[in-house]
This record gives sequence, structure tokens and C-alpha cells, in this order.
Amino acid sequence: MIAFLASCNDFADINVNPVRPTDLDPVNQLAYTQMRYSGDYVVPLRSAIGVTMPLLQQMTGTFTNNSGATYAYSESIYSFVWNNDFPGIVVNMVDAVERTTGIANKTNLNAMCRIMKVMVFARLTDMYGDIPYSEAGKGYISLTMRPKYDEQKNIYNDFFKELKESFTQLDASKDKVTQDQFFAGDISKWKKLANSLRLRYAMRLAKVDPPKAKSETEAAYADGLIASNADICLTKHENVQSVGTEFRGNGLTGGMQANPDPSRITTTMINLLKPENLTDPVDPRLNIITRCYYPLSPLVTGPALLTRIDITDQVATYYSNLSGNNAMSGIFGIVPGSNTLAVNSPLVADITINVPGLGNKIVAPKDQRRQVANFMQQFNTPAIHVSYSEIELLLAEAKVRGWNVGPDAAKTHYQNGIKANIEQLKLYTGAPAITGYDAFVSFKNLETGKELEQINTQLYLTLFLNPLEGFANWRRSGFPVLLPVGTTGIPIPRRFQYPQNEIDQNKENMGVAVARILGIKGTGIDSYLNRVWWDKE
Amino acid sequence: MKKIILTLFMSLAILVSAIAQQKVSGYVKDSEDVGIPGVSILEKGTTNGITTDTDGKFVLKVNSSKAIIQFIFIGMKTIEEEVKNRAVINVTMQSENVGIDEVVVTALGIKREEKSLGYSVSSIKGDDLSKSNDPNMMNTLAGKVPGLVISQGAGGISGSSRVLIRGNTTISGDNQPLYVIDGVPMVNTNDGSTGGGKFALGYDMGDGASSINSDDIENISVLKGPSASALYGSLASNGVIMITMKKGTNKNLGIEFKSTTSIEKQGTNYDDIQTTYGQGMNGVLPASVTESQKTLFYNFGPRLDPNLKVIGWDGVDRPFGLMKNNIDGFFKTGRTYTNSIAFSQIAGKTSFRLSYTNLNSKDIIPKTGMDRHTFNLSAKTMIGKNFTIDTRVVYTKEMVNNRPALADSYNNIAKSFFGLANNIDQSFFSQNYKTAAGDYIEWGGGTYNYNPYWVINDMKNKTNKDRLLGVITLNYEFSKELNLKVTGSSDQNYLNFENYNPVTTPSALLGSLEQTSRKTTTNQLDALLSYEKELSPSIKLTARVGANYFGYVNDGFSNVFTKMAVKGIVNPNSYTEKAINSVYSRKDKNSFYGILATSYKNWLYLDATVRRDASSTLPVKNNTYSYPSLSGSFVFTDAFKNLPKLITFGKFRASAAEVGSDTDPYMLDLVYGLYPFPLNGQPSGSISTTIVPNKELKPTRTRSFETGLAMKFFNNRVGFDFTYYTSISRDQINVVPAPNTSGYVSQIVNVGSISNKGVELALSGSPIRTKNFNWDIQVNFAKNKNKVVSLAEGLPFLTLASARWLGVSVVAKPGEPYGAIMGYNYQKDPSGNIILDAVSRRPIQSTAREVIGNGTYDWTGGVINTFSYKGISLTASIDIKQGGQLFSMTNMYSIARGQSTLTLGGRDEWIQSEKDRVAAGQTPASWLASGNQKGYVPQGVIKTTDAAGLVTYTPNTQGIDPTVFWGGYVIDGQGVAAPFIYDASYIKLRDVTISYNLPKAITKKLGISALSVGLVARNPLIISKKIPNIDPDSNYYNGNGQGLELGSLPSKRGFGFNLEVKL
Repeated sequence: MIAFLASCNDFADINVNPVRPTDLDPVNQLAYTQMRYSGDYVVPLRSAIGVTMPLLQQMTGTFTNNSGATYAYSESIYSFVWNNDFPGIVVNMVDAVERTTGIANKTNLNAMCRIMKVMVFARLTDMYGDIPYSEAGKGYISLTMRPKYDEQKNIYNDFFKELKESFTQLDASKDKVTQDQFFAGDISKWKKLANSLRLRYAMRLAKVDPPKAKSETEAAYADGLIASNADICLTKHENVQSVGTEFRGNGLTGGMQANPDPSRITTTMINLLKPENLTDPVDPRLNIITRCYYPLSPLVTGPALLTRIDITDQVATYYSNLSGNNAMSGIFGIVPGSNTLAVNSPLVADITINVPGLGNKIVAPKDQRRQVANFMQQFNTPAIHVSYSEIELLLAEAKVRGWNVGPDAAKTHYQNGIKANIEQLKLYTGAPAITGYDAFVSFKNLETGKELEQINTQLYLTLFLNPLEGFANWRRSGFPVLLPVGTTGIPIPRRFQYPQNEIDQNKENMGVAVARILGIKGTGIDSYLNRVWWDKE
Repeated sequence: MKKIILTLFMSLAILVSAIAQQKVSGYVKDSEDVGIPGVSILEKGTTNGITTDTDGKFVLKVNSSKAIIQFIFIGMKTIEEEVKNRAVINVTMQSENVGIDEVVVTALGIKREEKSLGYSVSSIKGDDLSKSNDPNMMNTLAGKVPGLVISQGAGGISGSSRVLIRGNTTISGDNQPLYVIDGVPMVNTNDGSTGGGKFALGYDMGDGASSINSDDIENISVLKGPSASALYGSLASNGVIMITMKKGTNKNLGIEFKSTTSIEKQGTNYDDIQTTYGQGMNGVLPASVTESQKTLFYNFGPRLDPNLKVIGWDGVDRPFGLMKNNIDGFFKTGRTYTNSIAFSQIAGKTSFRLSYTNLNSKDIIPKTGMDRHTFNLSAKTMIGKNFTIDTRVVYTKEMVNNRPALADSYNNIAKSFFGLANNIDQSFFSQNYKTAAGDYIEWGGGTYNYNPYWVINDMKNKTNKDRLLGVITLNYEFSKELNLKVTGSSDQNYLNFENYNPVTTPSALLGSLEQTSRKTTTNQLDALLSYEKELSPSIKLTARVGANYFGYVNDGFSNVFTKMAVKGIVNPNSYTEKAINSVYSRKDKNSFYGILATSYKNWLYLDATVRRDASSTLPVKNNTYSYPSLSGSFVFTDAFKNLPKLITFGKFRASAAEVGSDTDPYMLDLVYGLYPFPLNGQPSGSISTTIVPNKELKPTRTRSFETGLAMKFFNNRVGFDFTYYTSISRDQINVVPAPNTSGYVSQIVNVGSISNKGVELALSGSPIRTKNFNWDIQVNFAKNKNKVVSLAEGLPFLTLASARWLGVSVVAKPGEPYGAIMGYNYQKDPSGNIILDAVSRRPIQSTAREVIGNGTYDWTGGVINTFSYKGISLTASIDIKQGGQLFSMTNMYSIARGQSTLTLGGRDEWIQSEKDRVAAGQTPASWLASGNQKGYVPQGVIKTTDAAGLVTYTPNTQGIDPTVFWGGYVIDGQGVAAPFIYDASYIKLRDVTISYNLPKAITKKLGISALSVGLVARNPLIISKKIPNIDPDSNYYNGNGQGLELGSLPSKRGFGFNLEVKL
């Protein structure tokens, strides 16, 4: 009668999931993280388009920009990067590093995972300050459900150690990592990436710990940095709509396309791109990155949005005719702080121009304002994580600070950085021909006493589509100088508050970190107006 | 027991006593005056007997005039008649489940006299369900059984209903009862729901119970509490719904035909719509196409005036007049046809019943409908004298087209429409919503709210469910005392769901097709050996031992196809990107169980059970667990003979039980998965669980205690049944949230304890009983008090569901009842006035989220009145739910968009103030500063603190723009939620049925045995509710997090006509 009952020990086999492996080569997790790092659409949609881009006064004018435009704190918008990254990519990098450590035939993979892990954590600590680091992502590995918060200073020290060790560990004669999305397993490029990240994080400490910043910068330089646009670290995204768990498309540009009438470039950014004097050479990026469009349908999203008609030249010509051939005529941004395109500032009126293919049309003020060029906001726009331009500009600053980063003058690095940024536009599909920028580049000089401002203004432009890094660099450098434009009396927010999920579930550990927070709202207050450790006044 | 006796008597019936001294003849009929063939007629205490002939007639010789004749027939109450000097004895047999000695189906399909049970069981006849004819038969039970709470929810056609017996007993389990069909437990797989997350969306695809055909149901028993269900083990820790299906009953071939036609109308209307002001914001009419599109869903414009023209979202000028019922017009009249035919026959030792039912329904939402076919065959035969074979095969096919999308879905019709400016009629959007090429044209709803006409005409979803249930029961009687029953069953469910988004659908621009296919199989084998012994004339003993194998497999695919390359052909082949995702899980369980039942003199009963389960889902070291139950019943009216006459029946009962539960498969190990698509030709993958697995899990234990008193008076004219129960579960296997910094969203652990205490009361009475007119009334009441006793250490609360807006969650929080609604409240001054922000004049939110409601009802009840006059009977049942709350985001939008009458204050003042300001050439800031601004004056106080720190509260007198005040309520993750917590209490008239049975005299002339006609009204009236615009039963989520409503479609009322013919 009991013959049909299985033995209880067979149950262990029954309870093994036949469609989900309990083991998977960690290289898959590296590739996954490289994709999701810039492909998880809600992260840039909320953190960058929602907060940092309008805070940096680069783009604004839609409801999506509201939080950053008006300095209104919104838990759900500020928490996306945290809530998606920790269980999405942090856990995979922690797990992959754990599972490749001490494995003889995975030393290169292990080093790459350690570098990727630094990139993942750096984005989080730079936004929030002290975060769970040494114990984070270990809910399964060590059953650490409520990880402690590490001081940002210690996290940074560990970054430097991890990057140095990974650099040393990488060895072209060891395991080949072909699934690598960044460099297809090119060890020399990974080595340059490790050192370049080290330079980036070293420069972050320029104010808070200058000796450390100097020594790490010099060491990173000595080990070899990204040296051309061929070395750029980027994720090549595919032409797939970014939505939900679809990570193949570029999350940031996918987020831009999600708005039927996208954000406009602000007057702040337009002014930084415009020449100081009308006779000076014009920054070619002004008319490449920013364009005017006439919408074919007032509310359409996605690639169909990009079928709108380019009317940049027609608008420019219209105003230039009015003002006597001024090359800078008819280039309008939107006043920073706007969370609606209805704001008519700077003031312009409806104009009638000949829209190509449609004839004479009335163009509303909002459509005379510059937007991000179509070719830069496609789903397959590559996500550039660390660029040669950024490295050159950081070296320029290091040189200005008198650190030992080789023989080249700060100006050389500065111009290299600007030139590299212009040239890297070629990486985008459908980029216009970019020529004749040499005159502009060679015109860009460093003025004594204004070097840091000039260099970091260029970093601000270079990091335009890497907005979380741009926000970090702006905070650590203080340049370009931005005046608050949000709700009266509120300064520009400088960090992200801890999410509700941590308040609910990890309050005790979070409380220790909150007690260390400094800034305008007072010590020990978890406010988006306070500062992270390296963001020293 | 009865079966044994019957078999015994049937074999004896061929013997006719030779020593008969008196001849008795007679006619045995049923309550419908039809003769019953095959009734065993037996002289008591002898072997003398016979059976009735095909017409129900018999002739029997008995030994003396003092002989007692027993009339025995399966399914009927046994009758005993003393012969005396009568030569003719005619009797009318009553169906077994009528009267005090009600026989109820208990666990394992064992029929027991209700009076012998130590726990509460409620019974409902199948006929009561099929009259009302709700496509989901569980809805018909609402308000009919004390302690059984049915929440219909907002699921739409063929959606599931949430069924709860005696409250929530687990924190993160599903808390749903076990369904047992003819003794075979059914896994009530939930086929898909919105989920309880913040961005809850999708479809309610029904569950196993929602597809059961009510026409095939003979009877439903509700076993409440673990004592009743201890024998089913962990599956039944939330109670059991026992469904007994119809079997063959007539000797002659019986044919039954039933038909119901009903129409469905919109049951709830958007009934709080202001009719004074139209489209626009800040009192201003939209001036351009863009402004018109952006204000489509704002009613903060100027006063409506049909002589005024307003530009439309499409550039067309239309009059700015009121469009009455501008949203309601979308809904059509629905129709439901149910037709069934059944054949049944008893021939010798074999009986069968075959039925076919078709239910065809067109919803009130255009293009939405379902079609369900049910075939049901049952057959029973006896081979030899001791061996019985009983089989049942049920096949159900259910097809649903275009289920409505719920909650935050982009294609939720109700969500797309809410707030629609009252000068615009929804029908405008049926025109020119797509290009000649079939591309979507934006209408003003953006990416997140599709044009409903695109949803119903161009998007498509299809659900196809096939279900095959086969059961074989073999019964062998070794002797009068010893019996072996072996039951084998297989329940196979196939689900195919297809969801199509055409190219240019805003959130699937390149087109997509989702296909889910799933096969869930439950195989069971059960063996039960019973031994029954009369130890002495007054002591009876029944011992049973059994073994059970339960195997469950869920196997299928959930595939997504994107980038539609061949437009118009909705098939995976038309797509260039294919994400294939295989899903599989298996769970096995082996059990042994034993029952010992004793009775003393038919007034004292004592039962003890023990069950031992081994579950594959738990770690090997913890996977075997046992649990006992003990129950007793004391029928004091039988024990004490000298009780007052007015007490007809009285029984006291008590029981205690423990039940152990397991968990879902694969919760012990970490698993990985490949990402469905390669990027740049390279694969990738990740950890594919967000729950930290746990190798140390132990079974959950639920302990319960129940006691009750049932009494009947005045010859059963009045009766009550009272129950008090408590239950507490410990070591609950719960999926509890973890900080995301752990790398996971949650973990599975043995923590937490939840307690339930409650009372149930059922009253029955027959105020009027005359020859032709009867009035019966049943009243039931149940109150459950639930408390979350503890959660995991360091866990302040556990979120059961999250709302899209205002940071509202439904939580389990220690010290609070399960399902507390948490959100921001008002900040108030010491005298209770709302504190307003000094600048915006809007209410300030509390510093932290507070408990501001509970989605679970305090008490529920029902009243059923039945009137019968000759052949006509009228039944009306009322369903009452009181004391629960609902966070209504539909009403929040109605207010924030100026649709609600609540938003009328200060509109004219604001419009005039703006006119004056423009005339005076002032800026808004200077106008406000000069004190001239008028508008809506929010009630509340402004808090000021002077230099000395003295706080004063001054009543607000400043008027502000109504658009800004009301529009400011919709905030993501924060904002005062208290105003949108509504009392969800209601009293509903659930169903009213009138039926008329044609007199026998007429049916005989027509050549049929019975004919009845009836009228039915389903949910005809909400007698009382406190929430505007929607049905209080509008939870979009059918899981544990009850109390959230967003974009609910109107509920429905149905009116129908029944015809039932028996040949």
C-alpha cells in the first residue's frame, strides 16, 4: 500500500530547479553588469533626467525633470539608482568576485569583475556618501541581511587598492574573457581602464585629501592611462526600446525618448558652448549636440519622435536676418529651473519659417529652443563610461595642481581633452561630418588663475551624457559656477538621500552613517542638501 | 457506513420472507411527487425485504402489525413506519441534507451526521448557486456562510475572487482555502494577477475555482478552521471548500435542460462629477492644440457654456457644453447565456450522469467576452457484491477575449478615462485614433494612458484554458466492518495567454507579443482503510488509516516576441526578436494519516486524528512533520430527556488542532539565469532570484481552538449556531523584505506569528409556515479579530502591497491587524485643525507614515430571505461587509483633476480675481502680496513661530488657485493620503431569484416530469456604500494586500431569465 510513496530522501532531488542552474560561469554576470550599468532605463530616467541633468542646468523643461529643476525632493525618484543597483548589479559583482577569487584559470575575469565592482559601487557612494560596501550584496554569501555602512573614505581607499591589484593581476597570458562587453577581453585596455578609474577617483579627493589625491594620481599616471579614443570604455547598446527589464538599449537616451516633447537644453549650457566674443571660433559642439526641431505630431515617443524635422538653420537664419548676420543669433535654450516647456524664457515670440517639406509654418517658442540632437539620443547610442577626453582634462587639472603627470603642459592636456570630446561624437551612429575644429581647439587656452574653472567646464561638457559622473565632478570641483534656480531659498542639492527601503529595513546601520553627514542642513541630517565626505566646501 | 448498510440490504432484498403474515403495499415518492424506483423496503430487525419497482410501488409481507418498515435509499433520509393495521403505506422521502440530522461531507469525502462533528461546517446546495448563475460560482457564496468572506475585486470577466475563511492566518502565504472536488484536493492555481507592487499592472486571469461550473454542483461544504481540515494537511491550513458534484439519480433515463439568459448593465456609475466647470486649468480655457491635449483630463476651466467653442486635442473646435455621462457611455449592455443539458440514469448496479454546459458572455466592455464549455461525466458501478467503481471525468474549456487590464496598466481603460473633462465625450476618441496605415495617433494620454479605442479595437489578448480532471475511486468491502477505498486522480490544467501590442503602441513601439503557456498537473493517489465496530450497543468505534501521494508540476513557457516585422499577422513568426523563458516547478508530498472516531449512545462523539507529511519543498532534515487534532460533540438534547419541550435540538462542540505547512519549491538554493537576449552577440546572465534562499526552513505550524453551540427551538422553527475560535500560527515560513543593500529584495525565513480570534453566528427561522405560504430567514454574522503578533527581528513591518501614489502601502505590522493601510496623515494642531503650509496653503503631511486604515473588514454578514407560495419561491440575499477601508486612487484623480464636486469651492472667486489682476496689470506675486488674490480658501491653520519660540496657529483666510490646491494631491511617494482613505463598508443585495415550479398536473400533460421558470437579478442594488464613483469591492489585487484601488472598471448588475425542464 505504501509502494507508491517516494522515499523522503528523493525529495532533495525533486527540489532542485531543473530550469535555473545553481551555478553559472561568472563571466555572464560581468557581461550582464556591463549591459545593465547603463541599460537599466529607469536609473538614468529618474536619477539623471529626473535629477542631475536639471540640477546641473544642462536640460530641463518637462515634468520628468521636475525634481531636479525645482529642487523638490522625491523619495521614489532619488531612490531608483539605489533600489535597482544593489539587487540588480551589486549582488552580481559581489557574487562574481567571490566565485572567481583564488580560481587559477579565472584571474583575468576576477580582475575585470573587481574593476567593474568598483565602478558599480563608486556610482552609488558618489551619490549617497557612506553606503554599505564591505558587507553589501552578501545576503546569500554570508547571510548578512543588514549590512553595515562603510565610511566613504574607507570605500575610496579600498577602490584604490582594488584597482591597483586588478591592474597588477591582469595578464594577457592568462584566461581570455571573450564575453567582455567593454573591450572584448583586451587586457591592455582593461589595465588602462583600471588606472584611469584610479585617476578619476583620486581627483575626487583633490579638496578633501590633497596628498592622497596627488599620490594616487601620480601612481595611476605612471601605470598607464587611456591614451586615445580607441581606449574609451563604453557599452555598445543595441537599437531596442529601453523599457522594463530590457537592458540592451541605452537607458539614458531611452529615457530621453520616453518624453513626447523632450527636455530642452538650458541657457546655462548654451552659454558655456557659445564663444565669449562673436569673433572667436565657435565650439563645433554647439550646433552638433544641440538642435531645433519641428515636431510632426505633438505627442509621440520613441524612434518616431526622431522623425521630427530639423529647423536649426531656419531658426538661426530667421533671427540672424533680424540682427544683421550674427552667428550666435537664434540659439535659444530654456531657462534652468523650468519643469514645463510653456515657460517662455528667454522671451521669444512665435515665428513663421519655411519648415523643410512642410512650407511656411508657425514655430512656437518651445520649438525654437535647442534640444539634444537626434543622433545622440537613439537607443543604440553608446554609453561612454570613461573617455579619453575626461582623462586628458583630469590630467590638465593635475598638471595645474603641479602634480607629476608627465612632461606635457596643462594646456596640451586641456586641448587634447576638448579635441577628443569633439572627435568622440563620431562614435554615435548617424553623426554629422565633424571637421574644421582644429582652429577652435587651438584657440582654447588656459588663463592663469582660471584654469580649474576652464578645465572643469570642459569636463562638464564632456560628461554631458554621463550625467551621474558629471554631477560628481561638478560637486568636487565647484565648476562651472551655477546659481540656484529651484525653489527660492534652497541651494543646489548635493547628494541623494537614503531610500525609504533602508529607513524601513536597515535603520540602525543607516543611523550610524547619517550621524556622519555634514552640510548646510546641519550635521547628522540625511538631507539631499547636505554633502558627501569628499564634497568639501 | 450507510453504503455498507445499503449494500447489505440490497443483497438481502432479493429474499422475501416466507413467514409473512400481513401484506402491506404502497408508493414511495420524492418531494416532487415522483415515484422512486429501487428503494429498499425492509422489515426492521429481520432479513425480510424488497425493492420498489420502476414506478416506486412495492408490496411486502410482514410478520406482525407491530413490524416496523424501513425505507432506505441512498441520498435520502431513511424512514421508519410502524405497520399497525394499515394495508397501504405511502411515504415521501426527503433528500438527506434536509433537517436536523443533516449529513455533511467532511474531509476525505466522508459523510457524517452534522451532529457528530466537533467543528463548524456550513453547507450550501448547488441549486442555490446555479440559479444566480454568476460565471464565477464563488461570488454566489458572498454573504451566505458566516466567516466566509468573498471579495470580488476589480478583476473583470472570469477574474478570480479572493476567498478568506476566518481571516488571514499567514503573513505571506496566499491565505486561500483548499478546494476539494469529490474528495480530490484541487490546487487552486492563480493564473495571473496584477501583483501588489507599486507599479501593479496586468490582468486577473482567474484561478481554478473561477472556472467551476455551478450547474454540476450538488453541494458545497465549507470546513472552517484547521480542526475540520487537519486531515488534508498543509494545503488546507486556511480551510476547505468541499464541492460535491452531481451524480446519476433516476432509474429511467433522466434528461434535464437548463437555460439562463441574462443581461448585464453597468452597476456603478461615475456619480460624483461636477457639472459647472469644464476643461482647462487655473480657470483658463485651452487656447491651442497642445494646451487642449494637456488639459484633456482637467476640469479646472471656466464655467461651461455651450455657446463657447473650445479647441480640441485634434484641432477641431467644439462647443464648451456639458456632456452628461461622458465616460459611462463607453460601456455597453452585456449578455450572458448559459445552457446546459444533463442525462442521468441508474440501471441495475450502474449509474451515470453526463452533462454539458455552455456559458457565453459578452461583457459591458466592448469586444470583451468569454465562452466556457464544460463536459462532466460520472459513472458508478458495482461489480459483484463488494466492489464498487466510481469514476468522474470533467473537461472544461474556457476562452476569454480581451480581458481588461487593471491598475497601473497603460491599457487600463478606466485609468485612461479618469478625470476626462466633462465637456468631452469619450466617443470622440473612437474617431481618427489611428492613421490610415493603422498607426497609433496620440490623443493626450501619453505613454502611460492609451486611447481606450486602440485598446479594444487594435490590441488583443486571448486566454485559453483547458482543464481535464479524472478521478477513479475503487471501494472494496472485505466485511461489514472493513472497507478499503483507493482513489487515484489527475487534474491537468492548460493555460495559454497571448497579449498583443501592435506596432506603434506607445510602450511597445516596435510591436510585441507575449505568450504564456503553462501546464499544471496534480496527480494524487490515496488509500483509506476503514474499520467500523460496535463495541457495545451504546459505543461505536470507527478507525481509519490512510496514505496519500500528492504530486504537483507546473511546466511551461513565458515568451516575449518583439520587433514585429510582418505587420498584421499576430504570430511569433512575425517577430525578429524572441525571448524564450521556460518555467518549471515540482512539488511532491507523501502523507500518512489516521482517524479514530467514537460515539456513545448517539449523543457523545469524540474524534482524534493524526497526520504525518513529508514535503519535497523543505530541507531533508526538516521535511517530515506530524500534527494532531481532537474534537468532540455533545448532543445534550439527546442526553437529557427532561429538557423543556421548546428545545428541539442542542449541541455543544469543541475542537483543537494543529496543522503544519510547507512552502514553494526551490526556496533552498541560489539560482542563476541567462539574460534572454545576447548583447552584441554575447550572452550574459545573473542571479535570477530576488529572495535569499534558506537551507534551514522548518514547517509552519498553525494551532487552533474552536467551540460552539447549536440549538433549535419550537420544532425547528428557530435556531442558532454560535462559534468562537482562536488560531495562532508560529514559525511561519515568510518571504520578508530585506534591505536592498543585502543584494536581495527579500528573504525566506521561519519567523512571525499571527493570531485570529473570532465569533460566528448563524440564525435561522421560519416566521411563517402555513400550508401554502412559507417564509424562511437565515441571518449570519462573523467577526474576526486579527493581530500580527511578531515579525522577524529588526523588521518594522512587511509590505503586502504598495500603491502607485502617495507612498501608501498595505502592511503587516506587529501590534496591528493584518493588512493595515499606511500612509501620510495630516499634520494637526493641538485642537485638531489641519496645519497648512504658510506659502502654498496646502496641508502639510505628517513626518512619518502612519496607519490610516485597514483593508480587511471588521465584520461581515448576510441575510437570506426565502418566501414560497405554492410553486413559487422568492429568495433574496443580502451581503454585508463593514468596517474596511479602501485607498481610492480613482477618487484621488477625480479630485486632483477637478472632476469631483468637492473641488467646486472658490472657482468663480479665482476666475474673477485673475480677471481683476490682469486688468490691474499686476503680476501674480504682487497681486498676492497686495492681499487682493481670491480663490479657494483651504480650511486649516497656519503655524507661526516667533523669535521667542512661541507657536501660534492662525486660521487660514487666504484664497488660492483651486487647480493648484486640488491638483497638488497627486505626488509620487509622498503627500497626504488621509483624504483618499474611504470607508469601504457596504450592504449589497447580492441576488434575488423568483422561481415557479409548474404543478405536476400540468407537467404530466406536457409529458415532462418537471418544469420551472425563474427570474434572477444578480447584484441588482448596492443598498448602501460610502465611496463615490466606484464599487467598494474594487481591489485590483487579489493577493494579501487588500485596500488599494486604482482605475477600477464599473461593477456589473445582471438580470436574467431561467428555464429548467426535466424530462
